[in-house]
Amino acid sequence: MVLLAACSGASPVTGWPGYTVPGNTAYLASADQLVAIDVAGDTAGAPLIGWPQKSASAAIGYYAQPALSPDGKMLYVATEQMNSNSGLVQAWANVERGTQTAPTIKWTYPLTETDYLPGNIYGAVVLDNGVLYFGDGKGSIYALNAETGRPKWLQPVHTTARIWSAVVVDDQNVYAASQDHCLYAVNKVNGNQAWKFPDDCTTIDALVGSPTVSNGTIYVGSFGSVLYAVDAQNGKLKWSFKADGALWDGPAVVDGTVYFGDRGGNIYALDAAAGQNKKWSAKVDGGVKMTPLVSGGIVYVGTETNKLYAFKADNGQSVWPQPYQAHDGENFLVTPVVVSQTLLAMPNLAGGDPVRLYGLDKNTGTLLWRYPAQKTQ
Amino acid sequence: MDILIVPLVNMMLLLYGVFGNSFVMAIIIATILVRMITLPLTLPQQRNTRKMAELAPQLEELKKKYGNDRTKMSQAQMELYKQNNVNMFGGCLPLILQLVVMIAFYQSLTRSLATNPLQLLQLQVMPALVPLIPIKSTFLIYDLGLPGILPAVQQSISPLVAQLLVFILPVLVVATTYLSQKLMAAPSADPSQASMTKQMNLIMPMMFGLFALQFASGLSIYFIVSNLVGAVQSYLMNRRWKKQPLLPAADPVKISKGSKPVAMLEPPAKSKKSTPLPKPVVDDDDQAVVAPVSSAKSKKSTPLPKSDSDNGNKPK
Repeated sequence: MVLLAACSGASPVTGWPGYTVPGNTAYLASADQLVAIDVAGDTAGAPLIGWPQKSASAAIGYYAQPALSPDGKMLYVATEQMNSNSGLVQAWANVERGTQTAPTIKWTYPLTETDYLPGNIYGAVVLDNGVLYFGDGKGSIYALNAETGRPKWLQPVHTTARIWSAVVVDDQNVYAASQDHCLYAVNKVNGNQAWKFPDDCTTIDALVGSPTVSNGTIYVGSFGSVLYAVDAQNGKLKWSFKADGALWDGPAVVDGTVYFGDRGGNIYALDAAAGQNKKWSAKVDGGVKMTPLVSGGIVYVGTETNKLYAFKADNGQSVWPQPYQAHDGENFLVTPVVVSQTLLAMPNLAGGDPVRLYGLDKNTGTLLWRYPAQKTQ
Repeated sequence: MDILIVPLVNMMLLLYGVFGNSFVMAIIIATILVRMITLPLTLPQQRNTRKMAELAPQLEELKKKYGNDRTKMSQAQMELYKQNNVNMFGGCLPLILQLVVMIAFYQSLTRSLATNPLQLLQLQVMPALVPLIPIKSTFLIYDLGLPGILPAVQQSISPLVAQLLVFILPVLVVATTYLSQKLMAAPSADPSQASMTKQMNLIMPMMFGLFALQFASGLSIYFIVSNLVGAVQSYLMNRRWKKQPLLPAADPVKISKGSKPVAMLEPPAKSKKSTPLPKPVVDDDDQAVVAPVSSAKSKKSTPLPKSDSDNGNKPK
């Protein structure tokens, strides 16, 4: 039985990286590092001075998209503490380009003994009007004052199962998808539950990925392969669409069209109003976990089998001669970003360097640069 | 190892779906099934251990006879084992196979629980079972994928009560591990070995109790169920072997005149009950002929079984 306990086979990597790209700088959170990388010009692919910053403990992992303050001076990042099943939120100061001071941690939540101890945080920390919102592995939804790190609500909102995805916000509410099979809407001001869909959390399958909010509608996909469009005002179902494979992160919604992929390797473009009208669909190699990126009339999407695709948004035709293929074991799980003519894509960890970022020509899929630059494979 | 683990994961999920999305029921049923499947592997090993224990008194006599002559002692020991169909290494291969199956099952449990997003992403599940994942991990006051109790429960009660509730599963792990080990251990006539076994029976459960404080609650439940199943198995086997010893009662071993009767398999002086032994037989040379199941520590001389021949039967 000692052998059984020892052979648990636990992996040190438990999630996937996240990044945010304001302007010409990409802030990456991956494994035990925070890295700021120049993504434009002659120095594209080079880390900024003073970076990377490593966490104080090897047991702290960064596995979610960080949030940047509007003035670019503060970076908010969530953590996983692998030995304690709890998470922290850190606020890093002096992160802007050109600063002469090394980045430092301004505050950490939880801070006091009376603070609720979050579970591991795998979803992005979302910054909205000076408030940070996030969900945790214990199924709770939090709101913190971004300046001080102190709770905004009297207590977190508890669901009955894990939240591993980013929350989304609109003018009134913050929306979270819980693995208790419910989508929750919580009032941003007071933390009261506005509604949940469905009412009894038993009629749909688990919600694992992030929802998407657009034009008064919340879109969320389930592991039962169904995409739901829910009215943001009252939580009533507008329409649903049955895909061929399980759904993880929510769709991209652009110009009245909903774009998403499933884990069966299918890409869909639906009418956002009706849902049933499939404009086009395409097949890719490998499952799709991410929300696609729609930019400049092109849909960019990555798969779990190290490939990146580009389709025309209006008809689904391939843009690139062939998909971009990364190295074996590098899965594309987070949404890419376009900066000028460059498509940035961050593969998840594949051994070796803990952080990687690729810069591709967005029109051809050709690799322009990579970080770290010294790796050639 | 995936060749074993992936089917087991799918089996766990199938059971989860069949039993009303209850992962605890899936753990219980799957543990029983795996234990039954590995019974052909564990039984020969347990029989072997039992036989070695039944031969312990004779080994003691051989030790006295050959003293420090290790070569002769070793030869005599091998001969004794051979004559009684005891394979010293016969338990190794079944044990290894059993361990492989148990490790695979343990891994399938941890994977099924998918305690982080990467585990969930990498879970290889038949398409028909995908809607079942991620599993509903709450059970009573526990999250099966995490140690401790649910935060919602923890925050609604006093810290002292919360702390006490946290210890429920680890205490059950300790108790059932102790019970299982106690029933599984073959009684030993060797005082030093008996002492070591007793110490291990105390240390191992405590160690697992400490592990259980860190384990996901679902794994603690697995250990509890596995221990209980093992305990029942051992109890039934021990009861059967007590009535019908593995080694024939008519296999006597000669001892030199004047030596003390050898140890019984039954618990010696401390036992409140003792199984009556067959009547002794004295051969023509006035040498007491002792069956393998007689006790060295018994204060009374115990009757021995009649031998078929009075010419000094050799042990089989």
